[in-house]
Amino acid sequence: MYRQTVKTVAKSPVLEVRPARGTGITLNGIRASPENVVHNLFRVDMAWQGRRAYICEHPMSCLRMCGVHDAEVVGTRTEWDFTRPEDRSAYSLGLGPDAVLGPPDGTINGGMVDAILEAGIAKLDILKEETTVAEKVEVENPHGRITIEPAPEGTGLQIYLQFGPFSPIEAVLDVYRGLEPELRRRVANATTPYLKGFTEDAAYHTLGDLIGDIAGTGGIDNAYVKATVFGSIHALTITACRKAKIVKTK
Amino acid sequence: MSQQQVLELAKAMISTPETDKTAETLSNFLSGKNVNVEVANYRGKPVVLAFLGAEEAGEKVDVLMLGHTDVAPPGPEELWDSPPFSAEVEEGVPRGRGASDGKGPSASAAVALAELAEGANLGRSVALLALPDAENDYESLDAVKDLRAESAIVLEPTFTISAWSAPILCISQRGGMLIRIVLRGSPAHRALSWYGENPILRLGEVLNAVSELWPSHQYYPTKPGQAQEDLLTAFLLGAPTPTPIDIRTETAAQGTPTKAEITVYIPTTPNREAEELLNSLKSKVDETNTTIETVKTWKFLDGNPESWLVKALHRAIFEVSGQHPLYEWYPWPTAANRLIELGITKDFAIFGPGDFRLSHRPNEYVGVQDLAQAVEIYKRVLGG
Repeated sequence: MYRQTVKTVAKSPVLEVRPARGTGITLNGIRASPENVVHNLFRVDMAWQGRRAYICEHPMSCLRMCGVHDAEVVGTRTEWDFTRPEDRSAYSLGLGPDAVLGPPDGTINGGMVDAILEAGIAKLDILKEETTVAEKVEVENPHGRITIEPAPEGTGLQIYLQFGPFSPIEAVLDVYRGLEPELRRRVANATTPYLKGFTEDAAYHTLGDLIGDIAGTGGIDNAYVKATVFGSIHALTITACRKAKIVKTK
Repeated sequence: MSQQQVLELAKAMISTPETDKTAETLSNFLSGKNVNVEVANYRGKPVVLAFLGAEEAGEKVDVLMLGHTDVAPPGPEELWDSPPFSAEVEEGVPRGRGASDGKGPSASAAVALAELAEGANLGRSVALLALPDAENDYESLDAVKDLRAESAIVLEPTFTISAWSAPILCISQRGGMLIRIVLRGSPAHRALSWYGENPILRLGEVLNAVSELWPSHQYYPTKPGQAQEDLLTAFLLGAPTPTPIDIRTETAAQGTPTKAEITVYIPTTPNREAEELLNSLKSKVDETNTTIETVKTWKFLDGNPESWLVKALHRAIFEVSGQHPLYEWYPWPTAANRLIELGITKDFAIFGPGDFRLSHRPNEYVGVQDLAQAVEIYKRVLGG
């Protein structure tokens, strides 16, 4: 199977997604990778060589839910909103509002999924080498527990998520098709628990965050993922991705 | 070693509301560890100044660490789980007024100096200054206005170790303004008030106009009670909320008031400065028999993210806590404004153990681990 990118530039109110070839996903010029993560409690921030990108999990999630592997994500905001902690941080560091990649409404989407689908998905002529974890990874901390187990090619991410007291959510993220459209819509438009608290809607948002972190930032295509979350999903997923040895799927 | 030492010093400092006693405890501790200490007097209050690696008081130092020995009033004692100056330690957490806001950060800085004086590598000259009037705008800095430093670490609470928070390093701080609104009325007997004009009745209109200066945010909590305490960490500062802090009236016996005066504190940001906010308020309030004036303003301050101090603090925080710091604005004007006004330093960062959200509230505390890790961070920065 081949790597996929966007056919044309996809524009949302806060960022642009541009086509790329074999480079993976970059965010404001930073290669998405657990090593570049500089904050993973309230959100996922990445930094590299003086560049910085805030709330990376949301564009990563949108792209992987749509089956995109290669893309250049570039922030486009020009107005500050100092109510937002990430805007204050960016200002302190002498950056612009374009360093912040998440939409202000606390959803994953912010119009991005629609923009990506409207731009269309293009198959590149580059074969995709699918990945999994070399062995079971387990992380347990005050935020909950997560396990990631190896899975064969074609499995995708088989996710079982128990968020707070809510009914578990089961989902499959296909490496090429992404998430099933109805579930994708629900996840993309769910609001972060940091704005609305622990709600059922926030459980779906957390599923989106998990996808952004494990498939996107972690670069894990095939795995069985089981997570029980009481706090920050990123404190579990990014720690697990850092711990994981990622290998080509057999 | 650091942990026990800093806990003992912090407890001794927290256990008194008196700035004199706190300053004495601090200066005795430092002089007992071979650190040069001077205690100056500013309007009857002690200003503690300690030096390490500098030959004399007039010499420019590499780093000034600025803390304070005074504390906010404890407020009603019945709101505290233990007396506010008992310095009780519960499960490794010293509690009391000033534990986080003032005394804890100063204790960590003093222990760092003491350990550096006792033989650890000192890479930079340093002065530790503890002022008695942080709660009164640091006027006592006049007593040491000839002091010069390349950089300053303002010792205020930003650093709490827990699974639910990240270390914070502040290199910017919100500005602020105090405004006074005076409403004048016309007196009448209180039993026949309709013959006069009661200014208290106009306060509601004025307070509404004040609250609209920072309108409700569509997504982020902006009003008291909207934010969930356990999730508040994500927002830290919330929105800049205008806060009425004082109200006075003038009323003759059996009469209606002739004057109502309200003082409001308003945070300012780079895109909403004091003058714009004042003009905005004036445009919203009927100015007949009304005066709106600025009492005081504090500028929004930006540090330099590229300075060696910020880089050294970032590195030390990461090495000690295992986490990169979050960059956040300090919520209110600190000593940094006066340090810059007086030309004492140009470069600053705000960092210390504790949590600024606990400031001025009952049951203030600071974690022992936070105190000890802050000692280690200061030592690494000063060790070069």
